[in-house]
Amino acid sequence: MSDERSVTTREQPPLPARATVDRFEEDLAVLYVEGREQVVERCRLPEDAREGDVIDFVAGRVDVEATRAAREELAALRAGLPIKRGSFDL
Amino acid sequence: MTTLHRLLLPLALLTALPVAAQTLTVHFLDVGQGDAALIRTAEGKTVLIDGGPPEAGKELARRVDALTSGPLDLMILSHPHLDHYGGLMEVLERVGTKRYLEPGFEHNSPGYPELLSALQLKGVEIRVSDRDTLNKNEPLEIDLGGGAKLTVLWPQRPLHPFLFDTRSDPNANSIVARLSYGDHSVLFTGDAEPETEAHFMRLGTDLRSDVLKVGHHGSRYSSTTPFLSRVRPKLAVISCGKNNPYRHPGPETLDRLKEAGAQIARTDLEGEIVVRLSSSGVTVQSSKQSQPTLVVPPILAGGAKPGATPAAALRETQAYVASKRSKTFHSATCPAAAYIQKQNLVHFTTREAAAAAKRPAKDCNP
Repeated sequence: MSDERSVTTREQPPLPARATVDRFEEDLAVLYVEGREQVVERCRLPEDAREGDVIDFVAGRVDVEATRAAREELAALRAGLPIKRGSFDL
Repeated sequence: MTTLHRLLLPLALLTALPVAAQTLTVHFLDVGQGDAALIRTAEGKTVLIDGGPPEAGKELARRVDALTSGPLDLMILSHPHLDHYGGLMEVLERVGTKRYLEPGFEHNSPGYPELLSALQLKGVEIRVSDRDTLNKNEPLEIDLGGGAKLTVLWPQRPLHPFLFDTRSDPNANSIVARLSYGDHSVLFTGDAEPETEAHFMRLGTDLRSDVLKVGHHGSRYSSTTPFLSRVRPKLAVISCGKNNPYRHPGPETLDRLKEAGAQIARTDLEGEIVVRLSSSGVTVQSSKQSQPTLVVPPILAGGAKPGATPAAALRETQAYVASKRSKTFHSATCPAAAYIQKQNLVHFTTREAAAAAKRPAKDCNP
C-alpha cells in the first residue's frame, strides 16, 4: 500500500486534521470525528481511501501506519474477549 | 369461608383479571438517520437491534428505558457503522443488557472498540453470530420464549465465509435475522447489500416474511426485485432521517417495494412505528396514528388455500368476526378485529349469520 495518496482539495466545510472513514454513502464520506459523524464530499478524500482508513487531511493522504495500528488494536481487543458462539435461549 | 369457597376464590380472581393479549411488539424507534428496533415479547423479553447514530443516543436510551423494565435480554449490533452503534453506549449506561450479539466482522470505526470495552467491563455476555461449530448445518437460533424465535440468516460462518469486495463489506456482512412468532414474521436486514441478497438467492434461503425492515435505510442499491419476490412483505418499514444527505430512501426502492405489494411505513415521515404480531394478525401504528392498521389478517386454522393470500382466504371463509363478550361484529379486516382476544374470537362466514347474532360495529360498519 503506497503512502503517496493524493487528496483532491476543495474548500469547505472545514476538514479535521485527521479522521477515520466510518463509511461511504453515495458520493459522501462519513467521518468519525470526536464521537460524532461529519459528512464530507467523497472527492475531498484520497481517491484510494477505503472504509476504516485513517485519513491525514493535512498531508492529504491515507495514514497507512495509523490505519494498520488501529486495525491491529481492534483485532487484539476482540481476540481477548470471551466470545461465545452458536444458538442460545433468552 | 368454606373450603369450597377457598378453592374457588383464586379461580374467580383469575377469571376476573383481564387476560393479557399474547402479542409480540416491535418498535421501530425514530433515531433520525440510522436504525434501532426494540422487540418486546408477550413474556417481557426484550431485544434491541441497533442503536442509531450518536446524536440519537440520549433520546433512544430514554425511550428504551420507558419501554422496558430492567436490562435488555439482548442487544444486537447488525454491523459496526456509526449510524447503527452510535447510541448503544447510552443504552448500555442507562438500561444495560445481559447479552450482546454482533456479526464478528472487524471494522475500524473508533467508537466500536470503545463499545466492546464497555461491554466487557460491565460483564455482558458477548456473542458473535457464528453457527455452532459442532452443529454447523443448523442456522443460529435465539429462543425468545413463548414461541418467539430469531433465526440468524447471515453471516453464516463457519459454513460460509464473510462476503468481501462488495460495495461495503461491513454492510454486506450485516446480521440478517428473521423474527418468527406464531404464523407471522419480521425480517431484519441491517444494511444488507445487493451482494448479500444475491447470496441468499444462491443459497435458496427461505426469506418469506410479513414485515421487512428495509435494508440500508431504503438505499437504491438494496431491496432488489429478486430479493423482494422471495420475501413478499406486506409491510416495509424504512428507518431513515428527515431530509438526510444520502437521499434515502431511493425513489427506485420505493417503486420496487410498491411493485412487490408492500405497504410502506417510514420513520422520517411518521416517527416511531409500532408493529404488533399476534394470532389476530399483524398491525402497524405510527406515532401519528391513533389507531393501528391491520396489514396481515390472521391465518386460518387448517391453513389457507395454496396460493391464496391470507386476506383473500379470509374473505372466502371468515369475513366477519366478533368478540364473545361484545354485542357487535366487525369486518375481519377492521383494525379493531386485531384486538379481540383469541379465546373470545368468533367467526362468521356470512353477514347474515353475523347479523343474526350481533349488530354491526359503528367503526367499520360491516
